[in-house]
Amino acid sequence: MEVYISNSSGVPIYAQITEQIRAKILTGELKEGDALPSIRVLAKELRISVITTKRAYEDLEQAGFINTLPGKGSFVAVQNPEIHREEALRKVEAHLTEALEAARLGGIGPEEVRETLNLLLEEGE
Amino acid sequence: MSNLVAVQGLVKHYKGFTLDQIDLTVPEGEIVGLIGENGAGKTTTIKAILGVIHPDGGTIQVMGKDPGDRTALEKVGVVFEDSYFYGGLNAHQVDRILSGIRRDWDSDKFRKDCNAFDLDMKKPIKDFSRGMRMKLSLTTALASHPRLLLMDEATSGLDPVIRGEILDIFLTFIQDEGCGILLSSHITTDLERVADQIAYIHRGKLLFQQGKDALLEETAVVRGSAAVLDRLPQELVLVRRDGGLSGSAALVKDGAAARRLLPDAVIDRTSIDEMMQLYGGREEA
Amino acid sequence: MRGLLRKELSGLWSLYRKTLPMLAILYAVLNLATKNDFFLYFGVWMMLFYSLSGMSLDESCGWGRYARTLPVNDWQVVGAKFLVSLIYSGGAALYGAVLGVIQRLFTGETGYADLIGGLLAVLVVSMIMVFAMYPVAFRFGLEKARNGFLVVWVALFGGFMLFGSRLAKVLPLEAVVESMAARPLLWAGGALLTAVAVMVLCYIASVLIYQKKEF
Repeated sequence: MEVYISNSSGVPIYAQITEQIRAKILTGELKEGDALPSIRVLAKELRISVITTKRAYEDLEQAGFINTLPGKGSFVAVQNPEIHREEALRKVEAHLTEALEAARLGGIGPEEVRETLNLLLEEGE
Repeated sequence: MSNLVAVQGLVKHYKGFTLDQIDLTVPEGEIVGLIGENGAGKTTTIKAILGVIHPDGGTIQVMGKDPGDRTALEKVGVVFEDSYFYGGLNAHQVDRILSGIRRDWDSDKFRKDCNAFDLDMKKPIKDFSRGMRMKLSLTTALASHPRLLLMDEATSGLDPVIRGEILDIFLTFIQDEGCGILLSSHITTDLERVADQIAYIHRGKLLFQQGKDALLEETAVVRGSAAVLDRLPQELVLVRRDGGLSGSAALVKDGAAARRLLPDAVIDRTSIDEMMQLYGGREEA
Repeated sequence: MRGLLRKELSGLWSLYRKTLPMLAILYAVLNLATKNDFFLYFGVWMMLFYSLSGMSLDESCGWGRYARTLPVNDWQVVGAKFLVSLIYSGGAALYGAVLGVIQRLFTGETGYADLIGGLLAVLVVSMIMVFAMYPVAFRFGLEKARNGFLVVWVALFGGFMLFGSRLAKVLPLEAVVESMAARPLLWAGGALLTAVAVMVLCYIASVLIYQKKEF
């Protein structure tokens, strides 16, 4: 497992870690039951504070992506397909919102948008 | 998780300078970065923790004992900026000397670390470069398996490569959750990466000791005209500088709140360097 | 304590690594050549003063501050220095005794009593001087202590030159010398005891001064 930190992205480091690990779990790169590096080892490897990695893991645990067993470490939790679905839905919503914004700025009306969407859906099938 | 170092209300008077009511903790498993301008009182605080000087007021506990307690000192490793063995001695002699002083001195570890750092154990210390002397001091401090590591400006003047190596040593040291580091440093970029907490001593007073992540995320710098900045509520503003072509700048506790109040002002994340420059130096700007 | 002794000894050795063997040979040669024990006595004196130099090494590299971070107390830190001074002076006295004996064996002269007496006298006097310098050096630094004692010595010497003859008339010198010859062991024992007493007093004073120091 590798995590790439950006110092200048403006996104807090703990959030970057959470996001990257989440992505790996969703794509299947990290499978259920896989062990994650301990917060201390991760902090050492990334050369960051232990508190940062701890927070990232806590957020992941709260969101249900990992389980932390005291004394044993952190493991990828049994993934709820619902969560994945919700995640995908969230992304669809986000992208659609962007598209609608672009339509608004470009002066493209709702009818034209729906036409374009239907065309694309038909192509996809 | 207990505290390796607990300083409460530390007071020390010198001619022309007073250390006034310093509170400081170094919890187990954490790296606490100590910042402050030269002469602010960082070294004085560290000396008081070690029992090198006697405080005029306040209490200090090191691993539950008084400063200077021998059983506690067995578990403390110190690196000051300059070396403290006569330069005519070499690392091998240092090994012999300290093995006769420290109960838990590990000669094997000392020798192994010296080799890993390419330190010739037969070479007199005065012939070492500054970086090598520093590595020797650190090796010396770590060879007795301390629980607390105190570093006082130990990395100033070292090239980035060596500093990176030393940072790695710190992080390896902290892998043991019972260990902690108090790192007094001007190299604020190192602290921004690796410190868990930041304590800022400014003109003899402690401005804050805070988690580094929270500090860097929430604190922000607001720039604008004096009139705009006047709209910021007092409790939000930590320090303010006015005047010049750059207008006024205010360091605020909560950047998000400031953004809500002044949506049109320039509000930036900040760095430790910038914070310290806003707080200023030894004299009032 | 072992480590502290090693530190003092290795520091002094690195300073005098070349000087000491040179002096040892020089004094031996001079002693044999002139058949004068003066150099042996002088050696004891010199060694004691050399042993003080450890303090200037400490001052120059911040040892005091570092020692406070080590699990040793001030009694041990100061004690190591006193022990090393004893080792140096004892070693020099022993060396002088050996040389003196060798010289006498070669030349067939006797006067062993003079040799022992002379060495003892020098040992006692220089011990008193050097150990008295320790607390002063701890308080004011080695340089000032040395200069101060130099002034004291010059004053004493000058005073002796000026008033020596007058003092000799007043003090019961002849009686003292007679007594020394009659009961050498008593005087030797007394002198040694005095030196030891001075050493112990100076040790305690030094530690008390050292404890108050801030680095």
